[in-house]
Amino acid sequence: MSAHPYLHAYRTRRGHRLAARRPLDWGVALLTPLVGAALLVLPVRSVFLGFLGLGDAALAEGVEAVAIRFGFAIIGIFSIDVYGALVRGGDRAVLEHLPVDPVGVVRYELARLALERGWIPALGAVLLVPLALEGSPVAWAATAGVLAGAAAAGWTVSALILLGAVRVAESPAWGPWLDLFRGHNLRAQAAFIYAPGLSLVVGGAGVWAAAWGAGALAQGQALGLVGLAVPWALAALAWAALPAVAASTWYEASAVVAEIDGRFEALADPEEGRRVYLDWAVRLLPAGWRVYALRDLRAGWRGRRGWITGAWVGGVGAALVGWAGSPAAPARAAAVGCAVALGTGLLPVLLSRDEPAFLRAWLPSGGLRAWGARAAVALAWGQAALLPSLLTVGVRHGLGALPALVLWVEAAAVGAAILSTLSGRLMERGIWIYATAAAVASAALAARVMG
Amino acid sequence: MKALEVRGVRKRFGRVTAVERVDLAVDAGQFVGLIGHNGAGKSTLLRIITGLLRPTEGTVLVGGVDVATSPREARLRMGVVPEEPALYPYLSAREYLDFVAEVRGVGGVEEALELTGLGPDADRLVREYSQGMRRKTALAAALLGAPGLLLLDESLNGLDPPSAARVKGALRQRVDQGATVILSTHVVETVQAVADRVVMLAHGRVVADEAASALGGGGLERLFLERLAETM
Repeated sequence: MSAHPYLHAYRTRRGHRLAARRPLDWGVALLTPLVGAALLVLPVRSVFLGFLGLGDAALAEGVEAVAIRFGFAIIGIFSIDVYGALVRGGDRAVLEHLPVDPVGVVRYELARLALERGWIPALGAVLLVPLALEGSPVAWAATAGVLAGAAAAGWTVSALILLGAVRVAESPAWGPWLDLFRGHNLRAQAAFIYAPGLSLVVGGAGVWAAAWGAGALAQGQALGLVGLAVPWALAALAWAALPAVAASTWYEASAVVAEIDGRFEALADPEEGRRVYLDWAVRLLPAGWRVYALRDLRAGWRGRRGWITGAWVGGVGAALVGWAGSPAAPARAAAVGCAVALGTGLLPVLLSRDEPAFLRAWLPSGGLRAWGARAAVALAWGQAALLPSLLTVGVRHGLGALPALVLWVEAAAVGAAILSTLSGRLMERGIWIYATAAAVASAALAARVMG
Repeated sequence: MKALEVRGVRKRFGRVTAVERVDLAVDAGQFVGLIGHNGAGKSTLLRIITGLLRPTEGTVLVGGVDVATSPREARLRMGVVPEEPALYPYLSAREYLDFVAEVRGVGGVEEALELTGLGPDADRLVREYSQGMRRKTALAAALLGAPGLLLLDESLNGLDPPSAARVKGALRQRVDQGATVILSTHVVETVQAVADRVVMLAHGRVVADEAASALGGGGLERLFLERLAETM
């Protein structure tokens, strides 16, 4: 018998999944992230590392700022990941009927996330390599340390807070507090909605301290090591508290989630279930395209909602970049917007891959109308990359800054829609082809936009 | 001690009542058929019994253990086959059963594969299985460790006749050994063929609770339709 049955079963599953890959898929899967990372170094250098070469004081300040931005992004990503792993993920559906050890399951889920998502802080460190080459290796190492600390705090603090949210969700004592800010959401749902935000605040405090530490180390102050250790201390505290919280809440989470779903089912207007984001826009399309566009809008919203809402998160990121006072801010916002539009463009390829094989075999493909509709839908989803920054750039830098912003981001969105729709015809391989092309295009556009 | 006690269980989702004041006590060694129309509350009641849903009122005891306050202990006493079993697609049936056996701290994988007729396909990945084979895998997992209570939600649907007969035989054998089986279904013939006792739900309420032997011939179907009409 294995000491860790969950991890043992995970390794077996992973082995089978990897064995199912074809040799070409292996090559593409290994090469694409490397090529993509190499290509993204330049736009990241332009957008985030403009302080390089401006002196030691600017270096320390810049290191602190970039560490905070990247660290917060990592905590945000991981808090959502942890929600999927501990509250609503596929593992829960399998395990909730079994007499599992809740503490073992939670530890396994965090270990699994570390294995599957460990590349994110590593990619962050790779993208910041110009810091070592043009600034100082110590500054780069300290910033990489902040990202690693953010990952550790992101996983453990988020796990603790999310499992705590299970307890809070139906606690009469917490009810009045949840009522203060839950709006029209159910109490239990409000607890889950705001938990990632609280993780961001708590983990973010650790990142803030670590970023200060990285800045201090960049200036040669050894005291910075103390700051760098703060997220690790938070992670250790959260890890120590996890067993007690997991033991009392892991099973309960299934009941809380079922309660939320059951209440929504009871409230649901039958028509409501059919409505999806942007479905009103199909009437703007030619009549023959509408049925295909509606299919893609529904399949995308129901199957890939995280990706679509992620486009808005990226768009808000571009808007924040555009809000800066620097004259280069509109161009930076355009560069980020282009990257977001190209990233969102992966959706049509994913939709093609998601289509059941029997439907492809038995239904007519729809030809040009179906592909045109898919590109139009992708373009509509891609608007999230532009709209938030229109507001911030327009307000901060005047209407004169908008035409260039619109031109660049729309060009990226149109290109992404066409390229990804075409790549979708190549199924699994199309993902890697599109991802590589999008990374190249993103780098080229950033270089061009930033001059 | 009863194998299962459901005491005054009521479940409301906002203004909608899914289960209304259900009381049920089941002795060890009984095969209970839980029947009802679509939406009668069978699956909701089973989810409450398995601890996946908390009742608005009432308690559920499995072998004397409260499902809400001792979820792990309660699960050790029961095996569950949901209507749509969630399995790991990239494990074979044998690997999945090995995993469940480790979690439960028991053996008996080969016997469970044999009982459900999965033997020849046990080393294929679950992702290649039909719906019926997935149900058989989930059933084999539920049988591991010989839990005192087996809960099956529409689990005989989708099985080919030889498999259904084999599974019914395996369940009957467990009942003869002292286990309790609760089979939820809307197929009257299935219940008539295997159950000792029939509990009928309509609109969330228990409308009949009879010994199956008292409902010979078409009696069960007639009773079902009569009671359903009374609740409309």
